[in-house]
Amino acid sequence: MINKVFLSSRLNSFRSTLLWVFSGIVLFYMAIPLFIILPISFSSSSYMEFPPRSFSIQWYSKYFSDPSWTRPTLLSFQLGIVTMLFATILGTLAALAMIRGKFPGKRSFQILFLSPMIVPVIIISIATYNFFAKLKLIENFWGLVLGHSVVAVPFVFINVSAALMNFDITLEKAAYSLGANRLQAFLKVTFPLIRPGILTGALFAFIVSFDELIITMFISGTRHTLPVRMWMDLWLEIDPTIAAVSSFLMLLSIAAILSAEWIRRRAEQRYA
Amino acid sequence: MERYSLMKKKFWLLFLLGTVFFVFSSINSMAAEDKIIVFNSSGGALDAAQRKVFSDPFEKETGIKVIHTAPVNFAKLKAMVESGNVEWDITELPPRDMVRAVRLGYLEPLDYTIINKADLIPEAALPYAIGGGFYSTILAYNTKKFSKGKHPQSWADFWNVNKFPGRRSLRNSPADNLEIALLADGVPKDKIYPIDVDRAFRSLDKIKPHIAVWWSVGAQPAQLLTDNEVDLTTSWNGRITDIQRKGAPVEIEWNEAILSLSYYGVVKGAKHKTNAMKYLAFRQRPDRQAEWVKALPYPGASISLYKYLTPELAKIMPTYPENLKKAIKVNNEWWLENADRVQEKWNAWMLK
Amino acid sequence: MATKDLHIYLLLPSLGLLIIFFVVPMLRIFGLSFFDPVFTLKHYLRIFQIEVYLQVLFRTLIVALIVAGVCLILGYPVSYLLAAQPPKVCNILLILVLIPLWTSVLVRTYSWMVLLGREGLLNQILLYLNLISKPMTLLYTSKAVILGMVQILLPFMILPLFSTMKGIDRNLLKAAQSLGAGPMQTFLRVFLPLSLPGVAAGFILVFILSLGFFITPALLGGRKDILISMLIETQVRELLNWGFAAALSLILLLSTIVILAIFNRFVGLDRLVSGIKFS
Repeated sequence: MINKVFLSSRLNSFRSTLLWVFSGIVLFYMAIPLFIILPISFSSSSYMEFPPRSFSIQWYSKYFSDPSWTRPTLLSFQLGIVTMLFATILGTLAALAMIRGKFPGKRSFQILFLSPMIVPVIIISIATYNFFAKLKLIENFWGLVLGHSVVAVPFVFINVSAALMNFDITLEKAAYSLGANRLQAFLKVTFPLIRPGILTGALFAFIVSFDELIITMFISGTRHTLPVRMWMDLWLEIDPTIAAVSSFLMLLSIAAILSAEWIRRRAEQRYA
Repeated sequence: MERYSLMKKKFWLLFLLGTVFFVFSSINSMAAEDKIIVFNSSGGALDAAQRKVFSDPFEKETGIKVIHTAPVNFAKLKAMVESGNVEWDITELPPRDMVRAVRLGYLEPLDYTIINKADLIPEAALPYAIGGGFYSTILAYNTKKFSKGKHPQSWADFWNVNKFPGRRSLRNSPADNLEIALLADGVPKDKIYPIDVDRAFRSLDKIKPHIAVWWSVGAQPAQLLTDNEVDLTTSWNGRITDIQRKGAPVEIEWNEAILSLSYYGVVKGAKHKTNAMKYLAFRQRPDRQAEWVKALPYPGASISLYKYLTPELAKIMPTYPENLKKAIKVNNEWWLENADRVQEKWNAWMLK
Repeated sequence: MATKDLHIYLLLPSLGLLIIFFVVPMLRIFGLSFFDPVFTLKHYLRIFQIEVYLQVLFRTLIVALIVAGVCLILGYPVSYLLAAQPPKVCNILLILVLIPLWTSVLVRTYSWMVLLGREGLLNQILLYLNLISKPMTLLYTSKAVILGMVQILLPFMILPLFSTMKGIDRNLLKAAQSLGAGPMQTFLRVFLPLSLPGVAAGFILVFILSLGFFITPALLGGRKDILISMLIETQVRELLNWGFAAALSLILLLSTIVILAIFNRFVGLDRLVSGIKFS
């Protein structure tokens, strides 16, 4: 364990405490919105004030009972999951090709894969809208998946590339020498070791799609996703329903991560 | 370990299939019907009121369903008309965009045999667009800081930091601000256009160091006042009325308000033109408009509207005669010609 | 071994997606910047002749660099700590890192407005503790923009760093120690270099994402905090100068590529891309 390697002397326990304190501060800083949005979502006043003077759950009931909020939520989830799967597969394959393959023009490909992130979203949006309108892909679920995937693939690509770079190719070669074919070697040796990178990439892909606002505003037509719905609200009236929506999503993500953790642990116990 | 990853794979496959199935089923329910129109507006919080006051009663009366979309987006309108893939039947248009849309031929001529032209304020009854809502950029102030009577009553007062000390906010845009700056500099109301841009910027130079916040989002000025971030600011009148009703200590000064009118137009190539005209005619009925302004003080163009309003409600309308005579109407043509270079100048000016 | 042939085929699906649904639409729009409607360089001349555009571009690049730098400084120790933990602790901490990602950018930006306002929480606390005598102006400044952006982008630095660090072979570290290296040396000469791919990935990611921000600087920044995306957005949404907006973004794209190329010189992105092999 790294712990033992680095933190074995008394001097190092000082360093360890320093590390913990520093990290604690940074993590707290990252979590600040949670501490603000959560109380506001329970506020009884009609505009955002902090700290709230009195409490009520009206904004949550408003959120759950209003189809103009629940339908976009559902759509965003569906879209996020499909985009995640699509972009992860494409991005992982691309990363494998770039890191392992030997062919000319690699740097150009690398720039190509990063460029959706560099070009300002507004330009991608109108370019995409124009093009999709000709292809009649507006207000189409798969159009949205394609549009989102274009911006999600770079994230997967970067994360899987980083993971692959630290992967020791000799491990895979050892598998070959033991008689495994390419696919087996990949699935049983490479894949498990680069899995953190792939999962991180997948997670980013989901989040990029779920939080995507500008491109979606153009190509989603009358069926809004959640960010578009929030943006409409924020532009015209800042009302704590948004806080309720966000708090709900945060709690949902905690639940999802915890249950994934629980499943993983149970599987490990059973098959260890 | 193997079985676990197989189990996980099955789970994901099932999930994906389920999602795809679910998604396809909901896409199919979007079949096109004939008794509908697609109405595009700013949406958001106003949407519920729009449905209650206009769309639901309209559907009840005619059987035509109104589908609401948002937001208003000229780039999208352009792309829509040019590609021939017209999604909207009606769209709301801010004033400049309306002029632009008419010039570029993006709108259908309005059918005034269906819409009652007689009851419309003249500038709201254009061949290609109909006035939707009047709104004003006004001076809003904190009543705890400036009691009524001792408050800033003109833009010159806003500029007067000695007589009216306090933190100020202006919009981060040349729109309305150039007119305001000229009025503060003493230019008479009827001589505002064509705008002497250099003079406007010189006037703005004087107030620039005293601006604490440059607001960019419509809901901001009201928030700034309630948070005590600023003591006086420009704002659209509806937002201030809104927080006043919620109990905030703010007030509107109607003198020298900058009045604008947003419009509705029928998109060229719209799929349900006749239905759209009927809807617009319905929206123009004075009793409907009276209902609408109870929610939001952005009156429509109906002349007989004021017959249906109580005195208190009438007073907070930008087109209330008392307020109207003190207001300056925005010249959209001038802005259309000059917005580009003025915006550029504004950006450079902000950075100095 | 026919390795080479197969690898390029792996590239095809994503290549296809990007070419059809990204490159083609982009080319059409960039085409607008040169053909409006006939061939013209007027948009580009405008960008170079009127200084405000290059000023804003420069600012944007600087802000992006600062944000990426701050994220690196704050994120590296946190990732290090995370990578060193046993799975149970690690996962809980990861949750803390991931939760902010689930909050929309709009909401996160808004919570900063609540926090940093003159009557906001931070000022309330400082006044209560008598550390200041009157409220500080924290909101609508460049500091607020950076605070907001760093907070939003930190997960994008931490996660790649973390996944790289997790993959570092512990045996290498143990080997170094058994050869007599102290903890500091082991860190500097073994761990740090091995974590560089993650550093590069995180830094590039955050830098590039910063370039696209416009909601956060618009809501949290002062009048001088104009970033190029805001200008482009105004050009498209309000002024409808698609050709000019496209020209601005082409310039942005090119300057970013130049910066990455310079970065490449120092960090050797080349090597990272072609794959480092341990002997």
